[in-house]
Amino acid sequence: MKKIKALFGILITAALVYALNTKIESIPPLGKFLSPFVGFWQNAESSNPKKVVNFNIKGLKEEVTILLDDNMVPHIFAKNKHDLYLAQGYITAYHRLWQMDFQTRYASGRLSEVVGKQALELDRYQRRIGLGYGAEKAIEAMLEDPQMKEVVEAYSAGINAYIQQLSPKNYPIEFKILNYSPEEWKPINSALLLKLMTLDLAGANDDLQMTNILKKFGPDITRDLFPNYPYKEDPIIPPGTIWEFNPLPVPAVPEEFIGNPLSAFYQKEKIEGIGSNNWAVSGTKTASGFPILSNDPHLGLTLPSIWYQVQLHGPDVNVYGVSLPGAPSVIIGMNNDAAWGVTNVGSDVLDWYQVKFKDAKKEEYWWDEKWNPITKRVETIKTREGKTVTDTVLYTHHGPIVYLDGQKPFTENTPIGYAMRWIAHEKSNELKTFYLLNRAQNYTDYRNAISHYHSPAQNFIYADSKNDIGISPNGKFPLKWQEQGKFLLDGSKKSHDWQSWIPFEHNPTVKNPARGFVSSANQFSTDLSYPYYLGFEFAPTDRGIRINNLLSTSNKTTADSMQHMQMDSYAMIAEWILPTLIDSVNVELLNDAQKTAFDKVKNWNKFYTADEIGASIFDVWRIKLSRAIFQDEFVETGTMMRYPSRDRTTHMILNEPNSPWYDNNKTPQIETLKDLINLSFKQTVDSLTKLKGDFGDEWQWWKVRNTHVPHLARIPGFGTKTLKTDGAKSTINALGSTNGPSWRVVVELGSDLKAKGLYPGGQSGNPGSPWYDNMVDAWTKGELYELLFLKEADANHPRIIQNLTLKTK
Amino acid sequence: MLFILILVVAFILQIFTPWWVSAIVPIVFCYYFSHPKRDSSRRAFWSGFAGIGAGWLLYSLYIHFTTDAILTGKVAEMIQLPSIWILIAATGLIGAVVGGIAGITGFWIKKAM
Repeated sequence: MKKIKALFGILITAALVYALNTKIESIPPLGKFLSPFVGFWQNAESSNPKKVVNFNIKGLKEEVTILLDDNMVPHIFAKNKHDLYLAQGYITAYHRLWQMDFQTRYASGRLSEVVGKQALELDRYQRRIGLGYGAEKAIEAMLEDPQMKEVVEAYSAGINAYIQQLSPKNYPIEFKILNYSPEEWKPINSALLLKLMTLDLAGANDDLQMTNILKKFGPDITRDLFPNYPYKEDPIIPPGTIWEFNPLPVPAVPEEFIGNPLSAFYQKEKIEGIGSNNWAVSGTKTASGFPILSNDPHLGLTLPSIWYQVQLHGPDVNVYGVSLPGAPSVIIGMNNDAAWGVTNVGSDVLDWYQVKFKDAKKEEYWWDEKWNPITKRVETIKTREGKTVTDTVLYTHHGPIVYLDGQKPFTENTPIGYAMRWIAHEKSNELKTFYLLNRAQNYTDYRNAISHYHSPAQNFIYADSKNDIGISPNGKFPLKWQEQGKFLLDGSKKSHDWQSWIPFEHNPTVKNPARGFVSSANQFSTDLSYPYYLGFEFAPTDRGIRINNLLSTSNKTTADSMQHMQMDSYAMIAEWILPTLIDSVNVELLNDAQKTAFDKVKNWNKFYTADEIGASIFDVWRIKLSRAIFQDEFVETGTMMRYPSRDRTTHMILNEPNSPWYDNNKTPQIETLKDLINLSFKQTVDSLTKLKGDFGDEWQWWKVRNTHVPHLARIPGFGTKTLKTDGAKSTINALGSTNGPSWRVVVELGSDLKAKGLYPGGQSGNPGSPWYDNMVDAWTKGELYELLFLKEADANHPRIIQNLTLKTK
Repeated sequence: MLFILILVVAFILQIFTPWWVSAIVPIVFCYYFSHPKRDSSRRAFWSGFAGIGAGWLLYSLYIHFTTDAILTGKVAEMIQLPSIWILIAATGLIGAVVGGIAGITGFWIKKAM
């Protein structure tokens, strides 16, 4: 009896320990997680870090000094190139290890290993679009380049040196929540991360929707509603700029082809808000006589942030800026002589080819008048539950056939039975561009650096202390026939292939234009004089026009006025259409609640300021109106289509009062534009009332827009609350609910270079650190922090709070 | 006192070892320092309970206050607890339950031998 009791006790204790050591569903292993000795408590950091810390690092050649400033930015001082990038890898992992692990898993389709089978379809999708395939090609290119090989390998070694000295109680908290361990970092992870940027910035497309529209409405209506150039535009390269090259012949347009995709029946509108602004003002227009450069890339906002600030100081370089955790060097930054920045180019670099198989075996496909072999790539996905799933992806010479007939696509706009031709599958060495930009001393260096760049295409803006400014919409662009890839393409015809590339020298660029500034906001790169087709639709021009309006009327510009401009929330779209909307409302037919709302929007000053109620009403109204115009024909049809652009809709509202599209074909009577404006206004009031209660403070714009910064893995409690700040997707301060300016920087060039900047997050990825989200409040208010750009390793600088020494082992 | 012994030894050991050493220590100590006839299972349970629980409670409170409560609120929200004090209490309680059950097990083993 006593023995049974003892045995029973042992079993109960063992079962209890086992249960508390195991992750059950989404609950972390409670014993391990709550233990103050090894659990989450160990991740809580004090706001007074130790002044001096030493680490012994294997593989380091000489001693490296890392000074951390009061914003937790590392300033790395190394005596050779190898050590410099090793230290960058080390310190980035020190602050952001989990983020790097998670992003790599996300990119390579390995999330199921740590979160379980719920991520299986996502993993499968990432693999089917060939992100890993592209990364394998990219790392090959990097390792063939001896310079980049040294950089990438040293960076990896630094990350691994950090991982090796970590004990489980010091793992970042997310590892503890999900109950897994960090794994060795491989150079290909850096390539995966860069391909992930291409997915983010050049992975959207609507070829399937456009083909459905073409099929339903025919070419005339399609061209009318989806023109190849907007009505209103102020392109990046100032109109009138001379192209200094002899254009190559453009491939002939083949006979019309209308694809026959099978697809799901959903409708998604094109998302606005992933974009960016940059501008550089020449010394002739600034108070200092030297250029000022400004950049604010708009991306998905997360904690930890996508950016990590760093200063790299080595024998041939001294550069400060933001890096991407997982990739060596600085991506947007400045050195002693020059500064540069980027915004996205919305060129069409992703196309779909309809595949004709020989037979059900799917081993050969018809192309160029003959049967060609399909290549197979087997993807093996492991899940946390211990299952192994294999997935065979078929490739034509275009690229992967993402989904075959009978397979259910993960995203609705993926056409089934089509091969994907995508720039991300090209062999490329983008890091080289950043490595060289970090060291650029003049305009020639800048142009040489960006000549190595493929994707995602960026508007590279540049300014230096010799008073040169310039901008280059740049990347590897396929040389297309007019409208090639606007619709699904025929994968059996050679004439439908991407046949060659636009040479780098033919990419649009401008240096020191007469107007005294260069700028970009994701709009069209050029006017119609440019000889090549880059795509039929770029981001709406609103931000671009506003920036150029402000810059062309400004003189004696200062860093403060640039900072102020980054926060501008003026709505061009309201300037264009609000008067027409207001004039069309039958005021006498409004009830009291509608009347109150109408007066508010009528008197609105057209700025999306945080507490403006007029902004909320206008924003909802504008969207409801365009739905009222097109919903009957483009949504309620059972076929996946899309709306015409905002530019086209605006043009229609202002200039086509009798357009047949206003009529709702679901009703017996004929609707006019005026009817729709009145109807959509009433819907707006109803909708806001339903969402936010009766007219009042809850209708304020910031509460309707609901901007917040969530945790990268959406862990509750680790994100921010709703942020009270100005701006909207279409304004310079381009804010959506979870995207917006992910970094704001203003650089004043000159002999004494100065810069200020911040991002909505913090340098540390640890939710238990005071530097996890310390910049969020200042970002919300539009403040910028002065960036500490050290000339030498000055450990006594008043802003330095911690001195880390990496010693050889 | 058995409780003090468990508290001190388990506290020191937990700094270097996996968390489940907080089950091993009460088993071992309640085995060695109990008399199968004179002592009670209740004594073993409460010594383990308080010895481990107090360690967890005090250390988590120490971290909570020295780090300006920076993480407690976030984690409480993550696991959907209404207050940080419940999280701190839960921390102490989980340690205590492990310690208590391990303690009584140690005593039962002693009685069986």
